[in-house]
Amino acid sequence: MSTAPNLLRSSRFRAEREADWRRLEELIVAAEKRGVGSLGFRQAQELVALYRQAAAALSVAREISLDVGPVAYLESLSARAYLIVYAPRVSLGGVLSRFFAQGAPQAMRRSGLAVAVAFIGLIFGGLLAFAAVSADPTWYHSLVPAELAGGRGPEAAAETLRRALYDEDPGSLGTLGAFATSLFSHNTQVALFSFALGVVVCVPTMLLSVYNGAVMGAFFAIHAQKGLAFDLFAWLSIHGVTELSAIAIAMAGGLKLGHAVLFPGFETRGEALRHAARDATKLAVVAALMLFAAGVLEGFGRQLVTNPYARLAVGWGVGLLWLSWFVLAGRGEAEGDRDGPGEAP
Amino acid sequence: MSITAPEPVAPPRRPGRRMSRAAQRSRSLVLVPPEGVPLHLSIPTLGARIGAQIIDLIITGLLTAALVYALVFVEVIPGEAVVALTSLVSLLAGTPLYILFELLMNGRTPGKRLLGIRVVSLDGTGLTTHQVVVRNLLKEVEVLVPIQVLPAVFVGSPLAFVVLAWTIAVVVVVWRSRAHQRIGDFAANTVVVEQPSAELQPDLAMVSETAAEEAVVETAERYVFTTGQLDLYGAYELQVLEKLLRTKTPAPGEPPSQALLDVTASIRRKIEYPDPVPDAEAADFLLAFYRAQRAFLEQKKLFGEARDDKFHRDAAAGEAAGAPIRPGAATDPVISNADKERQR
Repeated sequence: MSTAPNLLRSSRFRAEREADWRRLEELIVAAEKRGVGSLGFRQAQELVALYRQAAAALSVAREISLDVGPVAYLESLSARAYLIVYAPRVSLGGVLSRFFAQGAPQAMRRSGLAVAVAFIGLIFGGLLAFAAVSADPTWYHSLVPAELAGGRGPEAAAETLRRALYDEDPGSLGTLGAFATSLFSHNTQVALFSFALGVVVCVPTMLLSVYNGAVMGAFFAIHAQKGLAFDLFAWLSIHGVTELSAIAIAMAGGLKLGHAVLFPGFETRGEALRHAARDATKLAVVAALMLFAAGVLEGFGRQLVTNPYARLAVGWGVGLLWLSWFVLAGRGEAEGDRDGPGEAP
Repeated sequence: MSITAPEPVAPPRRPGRRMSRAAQRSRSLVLVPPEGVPLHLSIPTLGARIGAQIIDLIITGLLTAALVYALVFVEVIPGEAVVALTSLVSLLAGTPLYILFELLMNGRTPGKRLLGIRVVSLDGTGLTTHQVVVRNLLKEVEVLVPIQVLPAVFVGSPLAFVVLAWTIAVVVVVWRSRAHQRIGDFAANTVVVEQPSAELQPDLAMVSETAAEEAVVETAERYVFTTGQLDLYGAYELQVLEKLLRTKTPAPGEPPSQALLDVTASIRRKIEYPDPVPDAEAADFLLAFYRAQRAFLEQKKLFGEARDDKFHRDAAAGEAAGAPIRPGAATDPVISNADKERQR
């Protein structure tokens, strides 16, 4: 048995390709340091070609090479190149414009039924609580948590309620401001939970929906008794149209997830859930955006705009804008929006 | 797509702690890119994941503080609004910022980049926007909400205890899943891996043509092995020897280490090599043996007989008898085991 130098098959294999591997490594290092954008056209083309070669060489080396060195090196080289070649090639502008122009409104239209169900839950809870509190004001305390009521209850004087609705000092964050902030975070939590808990076959989401409607209904009932129903309606409208819609949309996202778990159809539950999550995620992002907008409207708009008619106009005007976005945007474009490169619709 | 954690070969139950730690260290994941060549990526430790998250939190915290401080300092915002403003800014500096980082930095946030880890898609194609958004939205629920709510446990708030139970569930999921995926990773079909890096080590079988090494060539060629002598070992032993030669070969002029001498002695005994090997030439002997053995095994492989380890004959005999024998001690350093083998 003689060991003729450099005649090992694996050694020759390596010697023939080593220069290419080194070149690929150079390109990878450049791309990792300064981004793929820093490579020229030729270099990018070279990178892809060399990546394919390295992957093929890895496949062969695994079969014929008995030394671990080249196999380990090729493995990491191919992996690094793979991560560069198959990177998400998105620009921020592209992602945002696709989301706003197509993804979100199309997902909203596909989920119209779920949104309607969430709204029905809210309205149903509201009517129920309104009737209950009108008949027996003590219901109010069992429906509205104390920290949300902020001292306003059936026993509060009409003047107190009115002063809370028309805060005279717009700059400071007084009692109403504090309440607004807490309501904002309270509603954010509600949206979050009703989305996330939707997975548990929709039940917690529907309960939250009815309960939130009930809080609103109870609130209306005590104001209605003092003849302030219209003022409260205006006070709530300025941000509530946006905020309640946001909650309903988050709930719709949760309902879609729960529906996928309940009725997976021909898919496995996991697949159905993943499939439903495509739209549900978009709904969650839309809801987050709307909650943010509602927070801004609440923080600034409600203190600055004190005329009830102006409040109504702003609140429902913004609501109309949302609606027209959902209904009108992204029509006529190819359905089955694509999120990124190389993705199945 | 499969996630492999190497399992102990022979007895399923081994002394727990050491084994599980070893298994944890070698956790790896097989990713099949569109080219169809499986790539093995290693899974980072939980420490690295948590460290990256802490670095990210510090960065976003500093950003938030700087922004709020600047706004208050230039008196755009009244002092009383600081709380509302802080919550608003930290809302923006949380999940949206992570999504932005992972999209634009290809699956990395600053913390992940510092600790050399990154997110990859399990389906072997690039990360999509949807995947990044899903895993980060769930991060909000899994990580950021507990961080905000958990301090309330000390005041005895009932909500905080619910969140505590949830946090425990989240931690258990990450800890028990084989690739340390959290719920968001499962939902988005992603996994966090270590940034691969390896250097190309010189080929030991490659004989350099520079003059400086010609002396070595001559000594290496002095040792000649017979087919019978090369018939004993398999690929595993060859690679152990390769590792030894890479780490323990002495610099010219230095005496070889004890490990090298021991291995030389046991190989000589095992293959019944007749001629004496002077201590100073132990490394040359081993290198010559490595080359001869590798050439021999590669040739065998070329003709369809792959020898995984020194038990290849037992395995062949066992398969012939219909009952495959799988030796349990394959993970022990084989060359130092050679003596035991001989005594059997």
